[in-house]
Amino acid sequence: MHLSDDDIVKLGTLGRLALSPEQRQTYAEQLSRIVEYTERLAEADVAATSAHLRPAVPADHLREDIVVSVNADGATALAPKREGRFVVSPPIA
Amino acid sequence: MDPKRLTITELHAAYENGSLTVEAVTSAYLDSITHQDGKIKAYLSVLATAAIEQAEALDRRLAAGEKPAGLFGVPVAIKDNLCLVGTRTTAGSKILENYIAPYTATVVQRLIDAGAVILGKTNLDEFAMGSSTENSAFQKTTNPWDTTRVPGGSSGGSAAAVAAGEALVALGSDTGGSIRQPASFCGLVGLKPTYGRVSRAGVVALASSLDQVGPFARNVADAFRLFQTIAGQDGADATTVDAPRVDAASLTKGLQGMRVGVLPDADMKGVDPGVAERVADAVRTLEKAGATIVPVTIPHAQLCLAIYALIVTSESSSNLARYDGLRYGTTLEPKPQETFAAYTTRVRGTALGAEPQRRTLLGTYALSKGYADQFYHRAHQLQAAVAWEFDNAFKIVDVLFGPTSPSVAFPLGEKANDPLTMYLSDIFTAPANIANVPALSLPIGFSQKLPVGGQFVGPRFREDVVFRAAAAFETESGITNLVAP
Repeated sequence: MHLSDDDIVKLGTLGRLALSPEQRQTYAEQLSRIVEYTERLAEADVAATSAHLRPAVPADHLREDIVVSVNADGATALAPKREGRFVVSPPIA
Repeated sequence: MDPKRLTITELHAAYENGSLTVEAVTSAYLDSITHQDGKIKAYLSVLATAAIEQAEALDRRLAAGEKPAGLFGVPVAIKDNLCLVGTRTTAGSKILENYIAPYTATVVQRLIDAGAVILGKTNLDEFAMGSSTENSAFQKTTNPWDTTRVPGGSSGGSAAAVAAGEALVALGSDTGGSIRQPASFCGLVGLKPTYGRVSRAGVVALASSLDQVGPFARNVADAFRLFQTIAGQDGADATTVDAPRVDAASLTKGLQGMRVGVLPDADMKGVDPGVAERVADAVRTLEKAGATIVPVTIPHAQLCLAIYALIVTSESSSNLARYDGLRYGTTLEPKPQETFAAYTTRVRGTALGAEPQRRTLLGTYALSKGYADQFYHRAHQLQAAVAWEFDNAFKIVDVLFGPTSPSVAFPLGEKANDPLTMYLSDIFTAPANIANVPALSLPIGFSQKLPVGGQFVGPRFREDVVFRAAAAFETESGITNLVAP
């Protein structure tokens, strides 16, 4: 499948990426090749094995849900702007 | 005696008999970094002052009569996607250029608790996305065997540091081959443990269902010691498992009676002739040492790279959403009336490199409505099929053996502008991540005067089998403790 410039614009919006026209063109070409490569998955026949399938990774082992204190000052030390104990963010529309 | 040539066991003997101090050994490695790293570019930050202080504290413990054990006095480099409190942790990205870790990753804390000396943080492909370390936002690491070539990636800085004598051992992370492929290119031993064996707490995430931290070393025993130190369940990572620890006796059991599965010739298509010859030599060595060689096919192994590409990009596009210029990452001055979405879009367009942008776009595509079934869900279905095929193979053989990479280290720049070709570097390593089984690369010889790596793959949580085969091959072949010229 070929990804068009419109596809890349849409994906850039969803993925929060500002892209130049040159970047969009490059990514459209590169990603089209990668998507084409992954399309081979559609052709694989695994019907014979489907009865045996289970997740490849183990289930989570959850610990006790105990509240632990975090170092709030350390966690917010890198914030660009702070007012008291609040982090100042750009306006959110 | 050059302390940088010693194994961990030899180093401990020297500490115990007083012929070396931890401070002297640490200084020797720091000198090596000072004199060589301008060319190798393995390190993003060197923690010289802290390392010397740590070494002096360990020497006081020696003077008080403590016997060195574990990683006591072992100079270690850590990949810069592992958090160490109070130090810069960039993950090779401009967007985290000024990020100071507020806590320490479990694996790093386990090193420190075992007496290791942390020399510094090593270069990597941005967010561990790559196979050459050329995707780092900061510098291109070179291969100590030939500085016109890549060290592999994404843990290329850690591999180059050990191969260049700028660290005795190192930690990397492996999502599709990022420990094993650079280990292969740099003449080292590198292990990707079973997913769930090693904690990911404090590791900057690439693909959370595949990422594993593992060791680099110049020999199997040192890699084993590092692995034993970092392995084990961790309350801070719910995906870790309380699996039986690996017995050190595995390293001395030999190959007698082991059944080793090898790929049929048809599956070696695309492998450089020099690499294929060394793999064939290695198979003969295994047989000579008592192993029974059995041809084995994993029917859908050739799909693993496509499965990997979809799962990794889907997970990484989600994981990278946090780098929005507020919660994490570079900040820019907001424009008047700019919305947060517009601000974030501008920050990420500026401060994320090409590969994270590509993977964000592809992952967003693979997860989007109308395509998720065709791509992401299909990839998971086939992942389960591949895992089942590996399980079946391990009913016939104890361990699998084959090439780690289709080639030796390639020249800098050769694949930098062709992401699909770069992804294909991981064609033999990605299956172990997809099937969630442990895999270890070790040097098996040379081609074009460059190291060639072979890979042992074992059943889930059976790192003992992988280490047993690797240690026996190392003993039989005599290929160990390689030193780059």
